[in-house]
Amino acid sequence: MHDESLRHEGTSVDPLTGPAVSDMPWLRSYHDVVEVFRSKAFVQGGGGRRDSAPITGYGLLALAGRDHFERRRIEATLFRKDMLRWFERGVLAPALSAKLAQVANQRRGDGQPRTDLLPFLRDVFCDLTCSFWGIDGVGTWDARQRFLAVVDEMTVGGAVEWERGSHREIVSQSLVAQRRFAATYVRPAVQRREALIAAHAAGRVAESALPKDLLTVMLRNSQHFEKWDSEVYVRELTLFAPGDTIMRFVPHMVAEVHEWVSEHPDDRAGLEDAGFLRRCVLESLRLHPASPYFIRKAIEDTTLASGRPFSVGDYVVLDVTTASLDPEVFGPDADRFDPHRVPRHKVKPVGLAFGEGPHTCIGAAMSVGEISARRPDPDDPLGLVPYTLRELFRAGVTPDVDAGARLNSDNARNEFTTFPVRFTAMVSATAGRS
Amino acid sequence: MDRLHVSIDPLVCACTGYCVQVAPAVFDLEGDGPTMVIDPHPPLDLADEIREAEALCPTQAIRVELLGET
Repeated sequence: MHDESLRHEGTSVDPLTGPAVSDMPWLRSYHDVVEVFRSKAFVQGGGGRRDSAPITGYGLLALAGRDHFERRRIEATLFRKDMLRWFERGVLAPALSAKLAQVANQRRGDGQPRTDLLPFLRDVFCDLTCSFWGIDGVGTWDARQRFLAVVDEMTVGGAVEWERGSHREIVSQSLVAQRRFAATYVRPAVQRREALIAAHAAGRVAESALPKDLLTVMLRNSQHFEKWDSEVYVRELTLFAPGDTIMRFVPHMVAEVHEWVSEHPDDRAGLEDAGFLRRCVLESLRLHPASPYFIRKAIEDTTLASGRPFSVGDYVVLDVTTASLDPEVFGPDADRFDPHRVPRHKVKPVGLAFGEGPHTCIGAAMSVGEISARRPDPDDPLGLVPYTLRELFRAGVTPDVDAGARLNSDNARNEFTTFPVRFTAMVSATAGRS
Repeated sequence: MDRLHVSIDPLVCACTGYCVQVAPAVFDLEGDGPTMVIDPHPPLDLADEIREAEALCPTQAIRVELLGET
């Protein structure tokens, strides 16, 4: 599964540093990829995030060792269950409900509301991104559009490793957007939070009155961040754009779950069940991970259990997309969506979509909720993605096949650029009042 | 006397090793994973470390229960 002939094609780029990913060896078997993810002989910091360093350098994903652990420890406070509950019920729920109501009142022709799921989700998750980051004052429609335009330009450079265009040009444009983002949104947010933190230190503001967001968490732990330059705050924000990530895989889930329940009508009622919803989400994420591959760099000579040797300085690409389809682990029909799939012992149903080892996605539980099925508690958050999926299917979301969805060919992320849907179970506010 | 019960869901554990770093008396990471609980009933004075390990786990694989006197 990992000979030289299996080097990836179609991602030839103009890298800023080191070899292009197309010139690196690619690992594609599940066990090889897991071994490198967990190995101390490979690093992500300084290796895996190379070209995006001007945009996200010294951010969580670029750190290793003690610095990385300290950063995780500081930022983990934002991913506690009480925070997940707030983001889901206090931020996402009202935003999604308002957007669905807005769409319900825009009926045309056959009376079924239609929309493109991409701009729909982009708008819904704007509030979440602002709340998570700690950006204030993005309230009006115009303000949101201006904000999202800057965020889009900035974040593409933060994930440039997966872009097929010139990395130099993309990073250059993203840096301009990031400077605009810092001046327009971050600077006033920092000033407000520094004043609140100072008032709290003086005993004039209660702990409960302090914002609970990434910016506040970073400013309250400035002794950690001061090890780097003052722009590290903005680069760290750029790494964490929850809406930007979730938007990439929800359309795949809508397509796959819709097809599954159409062919397995007995499972349709399961869309109200947290366990089944979560299995759908994990299975779809296995097939469509938000990050298609990762780069690692060897920091010592080592040989994998499969016999492949690496020398200090060697780069390697971990193809999590293919590894999560490994038939030895996920069965002969590994490329098919099946929410009832049972992988081999000790293998997570989600495959490698959240990575593995120290750099496992810090937002995994925020995205999909409690992965284990052993703690059923109705007060637990469902997870941002299962929640979104449940509400969309309650509204009767159906891919609008006639309008045609399109995939983005500019990068290797297997993301849609347009995904038209209609809602077959919506009741408009107007109809409800009549 | 109250006591703790600590467990890890092996199907959820991503082997980050954070729990081992904050509570090495309770968790251990060796072989090909998942992380092992080496002391499922640790003393109550380790509760803070264990709770931090639970909070640090990105996949919420760690379960901590406070069991009453039996």
